[in-house]
Amino acid sequence: MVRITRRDFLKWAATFSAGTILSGAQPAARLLSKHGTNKPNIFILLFDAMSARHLSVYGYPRRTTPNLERFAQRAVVYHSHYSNGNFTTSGTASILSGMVPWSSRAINPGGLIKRDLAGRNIFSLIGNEYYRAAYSQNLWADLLLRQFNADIDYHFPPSAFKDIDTSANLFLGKAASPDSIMTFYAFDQFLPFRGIKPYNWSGSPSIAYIDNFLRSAQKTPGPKSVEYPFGLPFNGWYDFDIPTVLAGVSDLIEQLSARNEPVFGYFHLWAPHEPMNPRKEFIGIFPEIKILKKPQHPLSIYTTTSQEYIQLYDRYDSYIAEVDHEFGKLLDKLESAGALENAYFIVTADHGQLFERGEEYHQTPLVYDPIIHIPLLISPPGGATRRDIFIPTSAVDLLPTLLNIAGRPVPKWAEGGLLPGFGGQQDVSRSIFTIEAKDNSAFKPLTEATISMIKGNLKLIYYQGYQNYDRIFELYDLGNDLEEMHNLYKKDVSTASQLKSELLNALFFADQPFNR
Amino acid sequence: MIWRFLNNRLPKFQSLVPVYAVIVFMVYTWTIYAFIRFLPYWLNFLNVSEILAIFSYAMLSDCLESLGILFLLSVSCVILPAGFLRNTFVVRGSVIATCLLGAGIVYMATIPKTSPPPLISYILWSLAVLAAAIFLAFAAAKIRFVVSAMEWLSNSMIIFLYIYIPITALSLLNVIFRNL
Repeated sequence: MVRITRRDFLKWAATFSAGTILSGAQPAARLLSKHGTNKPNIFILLFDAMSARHLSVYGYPRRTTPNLERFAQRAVVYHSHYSNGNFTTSGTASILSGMVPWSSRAINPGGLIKRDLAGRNIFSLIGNEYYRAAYSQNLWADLLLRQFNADIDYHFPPSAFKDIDTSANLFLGKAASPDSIMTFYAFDQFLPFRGIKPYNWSGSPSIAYIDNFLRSAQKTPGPKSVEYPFGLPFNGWYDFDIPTVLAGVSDLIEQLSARNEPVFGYFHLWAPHEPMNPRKEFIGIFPEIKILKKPQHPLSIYTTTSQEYIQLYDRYDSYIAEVDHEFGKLLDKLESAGALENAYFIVTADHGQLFERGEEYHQTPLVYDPIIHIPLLISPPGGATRRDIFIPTSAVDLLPTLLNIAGRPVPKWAEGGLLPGFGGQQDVSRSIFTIEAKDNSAFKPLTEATISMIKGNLKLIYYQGYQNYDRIFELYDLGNDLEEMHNLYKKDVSTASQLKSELLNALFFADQPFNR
Repeated sequence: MIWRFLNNRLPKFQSLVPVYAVIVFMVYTWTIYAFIRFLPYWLNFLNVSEILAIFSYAMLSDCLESLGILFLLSVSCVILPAGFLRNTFVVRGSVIATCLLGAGIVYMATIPKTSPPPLISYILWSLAVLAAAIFLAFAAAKIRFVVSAMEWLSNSMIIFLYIYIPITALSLLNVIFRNL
C-alpha cells in the first residue's frame, strides 16, 4: 500500500531536487530566475463544493472568508463565475479539459472524459517545459487525473497528506499504476464497503467485512472526536483533518516553487464538500441568518424545512470558515517564502451547493445559482492590487487563459475564451452553458438533462426528459432576481424565444456526434 | 516430519474440493450478482472492454478470497483436534463457510454505509456469527439427514468449479494483457 504523508513528500522532494532544497530559504524570485525561461509558475487550488454564494469575499453577510478577502487584495476577482456542471466530474472536467460536459461527455458520477478526447487536457497542452504535478482528494476528480497520467510528471495519490486514517483502501495509493482507472472501479469502488457508489453494498462480502471493521476501528473515540463534534471530515474513502491536508499542500507548493523549471500544479481539496464537519472552534461563530423560503421544485426529493435549511447553512458556513482559516495559514507561508512572487495562484471550485427548494447538497438535477456559481480569484505574480470583474465567466475559460499565460497556443476546439483581465474581452453577448445529465448515457444524445444558459444577466434553464417534467423552461433575470424567484419565461416571450432557440440549437450540435 | 504432521492434520484432497466448491459458489456468485446490479451504472460511461476489466479484477480478487477462506479452514484443521473439524470437514467446513460468508452478505445488506457501527458492536456481531457457525457446524454433523444433504450439496457445487476456474483463468489473461 503506497501512502504518502507530508514527511514522505519532504523525502521525495529531497530526492528530486536536493540542490534546490538547499537554497529553499532564499527568496523564491531568485530561485525561479534559475528557470532560464520567463514562464511563471501556475498553481490552481480548488475547493470542492464551495459555492460563491456563501463567501463573504463575494458579499455574503456572514464573514466566512476573511483570508480569501485578504487574498483578493492581490487578485482579479470574478464575481459571476460559473461551473459548467453541478457536481465533481462535470465541473472538474470542464476546468481541466476546457470543454463543456456535453462535449467532453464527463456527465456521469464517477465518469470519464470521452476516451478519444482525453488528450485535450491542460497538462498536455501546457507542455513538458512545465513540471506538471497534480493531487486530488476527491476520487472522482482523481479518476480524471488518471486519464491524464501520461501528461502529468508527478501524480500524488489521493491518500497523501492524511495522518489520521491509517487504513486506506488497497489501491488508493496506486494512482499512477498502469491500469489505475479500472483498478479504482474494481478495488476502490466495487469490492470494498466504503466509497461513493450507486448501491449500498460491496462486491465482496469478505473484503467489505474487513474494510468496515477497519473503518469502525478508526472511528473509535479519541482526542479528535472532541475536536470534531460532528465527526472527522470524510471524503467517502478516508477520514482526514483540514489543517493536515492544507499544511501538506502548502509544503508541496513551496517545494515545487523551488524547482529549477516552471511548475504547473493542480490541487483539488475535498473540503468544504459534505459531510460538513467543522472543528469545534468554528461551530456557532456566526450570528443568526434569515433565508428566503423558496417553493419545492417538482424534481426535488427532500422535504427539508426552513429550520433544517438554517442548520445546513450554519454547518456549511462554519466549515467554509475553517477552510478559509487554514487557507490563511497557507497564504502566510507562501507569502513569506516568496512563492507568490513569480506564480499565478488561482483559487476556484468545481461546483457549489444547493440548500433550497427541497434539495440538499448537489446530488440533484437542478442548476440554480448557488450550485453553479463558484469562486474564481487569480493572483498574478507579485499581485498587489484588486480588480473586480462582474461579467459572467465560465470554468472552461481557465484552460485557454492558462495556456495564454504559459505562452502556449490556444487550440481551436477550446470552448472557453480568455478571461477578462488576462487578455480577454468583457463580452456580454457570449453564452455560458451548464450541463447536468448524471443519468444519461455518455455514449448517447442527451435525453434526460438539465441545461442552463447564462447570457448577460439572463439565465434560461431547460429540463428535458424527466418523468412528468419534460421540455420545461425557466427564465430569470439574475441582475434583478439573483434568488431566481420570478420565472419570466411566459412574461418576456420574445427574449425567452430567442434564448430558447439558441439553447436548443447548441444542444442539437452538441448531440450530433452521438446521433446514429 | 513436518510434511507427515501436516498430512495427518490437513483435510484430504477429496474433502477439500467440495468445501472449496461451496466457498467458490458463494463468493463468485455474490460478486456476479452485485456486478449485474452495478452494470447499468457502468454502462452509462464505460465501454465493454473496460467493464470486462473490472470483472476480471473482481474475479481474481474472488480467487484469492476463496483460497484465503479455504486456507483458514485448513489451518483450523491443523490446530484443532481431528474430531472437531478434519474428520467431518465436508459437512462442518461447508457449514462454517456458508455461515461466515452468509453473515457477511447479510451484514452488508443491513448496515448503513455512511456511518459504521461502533467497534464493540462489530466485535460482538462477529463473535455471535462465529459462535453460531461453530454451533451449527457441530449440530449439523450429528444429524444424519443434514450430513447427507450437506455432502450432496457440496459435491453438487463442484460443477461451479468447472465454470468459475476457467473464468478466473481468462480474467488472469485479461489482467496480464492490460498491464503489459
